[in-house]
Amino acid sequence: MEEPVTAETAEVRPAEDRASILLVDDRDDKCLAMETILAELGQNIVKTRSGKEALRLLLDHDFAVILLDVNMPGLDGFETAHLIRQRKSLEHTPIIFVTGISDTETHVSRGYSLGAVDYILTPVMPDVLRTKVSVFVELYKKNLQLKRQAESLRQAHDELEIRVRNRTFQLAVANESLQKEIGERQRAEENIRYINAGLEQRVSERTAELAATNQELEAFTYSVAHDLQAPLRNIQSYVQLLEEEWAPKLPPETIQYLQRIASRTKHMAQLIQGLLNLSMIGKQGLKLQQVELKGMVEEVVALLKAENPQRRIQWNIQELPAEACDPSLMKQVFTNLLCNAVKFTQPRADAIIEVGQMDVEGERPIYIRDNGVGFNMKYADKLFGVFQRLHPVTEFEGTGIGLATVARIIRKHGGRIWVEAEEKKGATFFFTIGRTRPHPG
Amino acid sequence: MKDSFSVLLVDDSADDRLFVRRALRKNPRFMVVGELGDGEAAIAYLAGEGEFSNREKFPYPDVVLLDLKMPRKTGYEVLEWLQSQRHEKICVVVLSGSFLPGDITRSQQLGANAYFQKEALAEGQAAMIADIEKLVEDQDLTVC
Repeated sequence: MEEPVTAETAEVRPAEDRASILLVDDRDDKCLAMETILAELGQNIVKTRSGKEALRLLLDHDFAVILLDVNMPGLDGFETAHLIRQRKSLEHTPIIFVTGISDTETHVSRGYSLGAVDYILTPVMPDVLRTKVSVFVELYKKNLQLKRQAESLRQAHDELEIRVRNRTFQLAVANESLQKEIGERQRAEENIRYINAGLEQRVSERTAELAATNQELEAFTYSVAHDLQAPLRNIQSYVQLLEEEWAPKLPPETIQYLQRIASRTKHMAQLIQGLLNLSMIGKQGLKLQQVELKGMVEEVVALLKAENPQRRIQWNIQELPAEACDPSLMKQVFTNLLCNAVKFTQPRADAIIEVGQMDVEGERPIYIRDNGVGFNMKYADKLFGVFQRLHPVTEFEGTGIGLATVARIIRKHGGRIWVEAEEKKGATFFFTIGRTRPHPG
Repeated sequence: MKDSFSVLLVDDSADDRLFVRRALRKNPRFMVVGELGDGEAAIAYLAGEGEFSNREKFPYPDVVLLDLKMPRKTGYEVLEWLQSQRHEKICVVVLSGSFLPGDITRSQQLGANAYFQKEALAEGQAAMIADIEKLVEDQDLTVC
């Protein structure tokens, strides 16, 4: 059994699950008796001898129930109850008056009017006391539990609210950064669009400039060549006039020189004509027609045979397709390439020139092959430039414009041209007409 | 059919005129009746204006050999003028250094009967004169 606790020394703070019961009685024996009875409830019992002391304790402690003796010196029970009830926080603290049977009637009515919830008669009947007190203890505990639950609910609610606020804040932050990102992306896209537009603008400007420059160059080439033609034509005419009409009167050496002038001016006229032809390709549009290439090649070959009656050449003309091309330009291609083949097989006693079509890596180029003098492949890329010559004029005459013209015509048709050659063995020119088509099948 | 044809030569290049005249001389059917160096003079001659009003001295030609690029008035302008006239029957042959398709078609559109590119050598010139002779015969210049 615990030691009775006096108000002065009371360890009032109750354990978590125990309620505090306040006994207020000036008589120690009564107090002790009630404490003994109530000890069974296992609650925290606080005793005090006076109403004044009780009021002090009530200032900072919470009690499940107050057992208040009515007859006390100083403040009696009623006065104490009156003062207790005046405190807002103690409005609902249950007060049980402890009173003798003799005083019952007056006390009970007065007690109730002062806010008592019950009363107990002395001498105390233990069961009654225990039962009554335990009801309030239970009530207190239930209340406490409810309060705690409410508190934890409130806390949970607060926590939830905090989490919701946090979450909302995080979302707002995320949202803001998303918005920012979207904005940045939009700006970047806009920027790219702007840059693209600028690039496109510049490309088209550049293309237009280049086209204009090209046109100017072509016009320039044409007018230079054209203006050179007239005086050259006159020189040729005068040379011929001298040769034909003045020959008898001229010293033989002079006639030789005149012949040389005639030959050089002829060469120059060819050069100029070549340049004019080259510049014309750019000026003219393509007049596409379906052309039987074999017939065209045979025409060109017949002409070359007539022009070179002294040459013994074996011509192998294979099957050739019909192609959509500009007939006059394509004839220039075959004429140039076959002329070259005739020219560069000149040292051969058994010249062979072959024209056909073959499969080369998914393409079906037309080829012109000769067994002439050929050339070193390291010069192959120079071959299609204007005025590029791989052989001295003294060995093989020519203008150095022919292959440039051929390449230009082929390119204008959307095709490409290339060459394979070996020194002293011969050369093969390949070209496609139109965009590269995959080999059927 | 006429035995001979009178020719008016219009070209600003005296050299070119010389060689065309020489080539024509080899064909007895052609007779050069005048040589002029620009389009304006050519129009005056054909119109018989001013100094050319004497048709005895400056007869109306059967054939005009006409250069295109000339001072004052070009060959085109002469062709245009001829088109605007109710002129006597005449054969107009353009003789130019240009072989641009544009020049050829424009000349034909303006009523030229033929277009030849100038030739440097006598063989080419002779062939051209032969072609012109055939052309003039086909034109049947006796009917007006």
